[in-house]
Amino acid sequence: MSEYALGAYVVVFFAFAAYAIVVTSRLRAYEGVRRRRIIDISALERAIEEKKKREEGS
Amino acid sequence: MIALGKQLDTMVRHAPTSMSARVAVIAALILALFGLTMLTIVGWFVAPADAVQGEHARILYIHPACATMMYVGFGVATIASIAYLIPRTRRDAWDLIAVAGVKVGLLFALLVLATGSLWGRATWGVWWTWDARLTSTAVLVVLYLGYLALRSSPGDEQSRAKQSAFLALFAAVDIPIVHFSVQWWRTLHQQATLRAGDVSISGMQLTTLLSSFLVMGTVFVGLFIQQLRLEQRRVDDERESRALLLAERRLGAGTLSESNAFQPSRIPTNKGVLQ
Repeated sequence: MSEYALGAYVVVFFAFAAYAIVVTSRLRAYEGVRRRRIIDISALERAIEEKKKREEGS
Repeated sequence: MIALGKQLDTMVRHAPTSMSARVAVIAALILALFGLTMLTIVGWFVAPADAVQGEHARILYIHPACATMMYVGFGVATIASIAYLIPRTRRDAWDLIAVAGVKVGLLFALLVLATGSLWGRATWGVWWTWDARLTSTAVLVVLYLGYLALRSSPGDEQSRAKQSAFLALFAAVDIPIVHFSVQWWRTLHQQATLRAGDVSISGMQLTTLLSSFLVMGTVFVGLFIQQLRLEQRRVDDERESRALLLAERRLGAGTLSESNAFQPSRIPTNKGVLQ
């Protein structure tokens, strides 16, 4: 058995696995940010409505 | 090319949430995992050791295929950059395809250098030598690292995309130099194993080598689609952040009125507007 050849296979497999994991995790992280942002926008919408009502009232 | 650009633009814009893109990634990665397992089993236990290089020659079943996928990744980036630079065919999708091509191509390029270095140590006795093939490949890696550095610089999105496309074309000049370096100069690196009319291996070794291209191709497709989905999501995120920040500033500054009020439905997303 060649330890160099074995090393090459190990490097390639780990690199592919690491790359796939990193890209997928980042994609999921963006999806989490997006979900939180939708909640932020809902709060912002309510704030705008309240502000409009105050302006109309005064 | 224009029609293809339009179609690609729609596909890329919907890629992060599209079920078909998700299924394609999962299918490609499962196939890739199966292919890599089979390649390892056949490469190590079925294909015979080489008469000259012995067991070290088993690196042959991953190294040339990685080099080919490096060419494919950078080639895709070159074509996408040309399409982005031509005003008639300019679409955001081409820019994102170019970035995804460079990133995945760079992964394969680094693996080419790593596996090549291990092969060099085993057969030549050195980890690195300033051979034309090795040096031109290292230059290629540096050029595309520069491309990624340029992309991460702050500034206007479109002008950065144009500058990156120019840099991608400049870097692409090195691709044929890498490929033909073993013919143009006397190098320590061997000539191509597979050449038209002159195949220097046969039998199980040849079958395994040819299969390795198919396996690495599947890995490339899976990683490329996933990277493309990430790039589109990143762009969506930047645009949404800007829109939200602008709205918050308007609200904070008390300038809201009927005419300039923030309208959440105007926030651009991959589905057109945020509901």
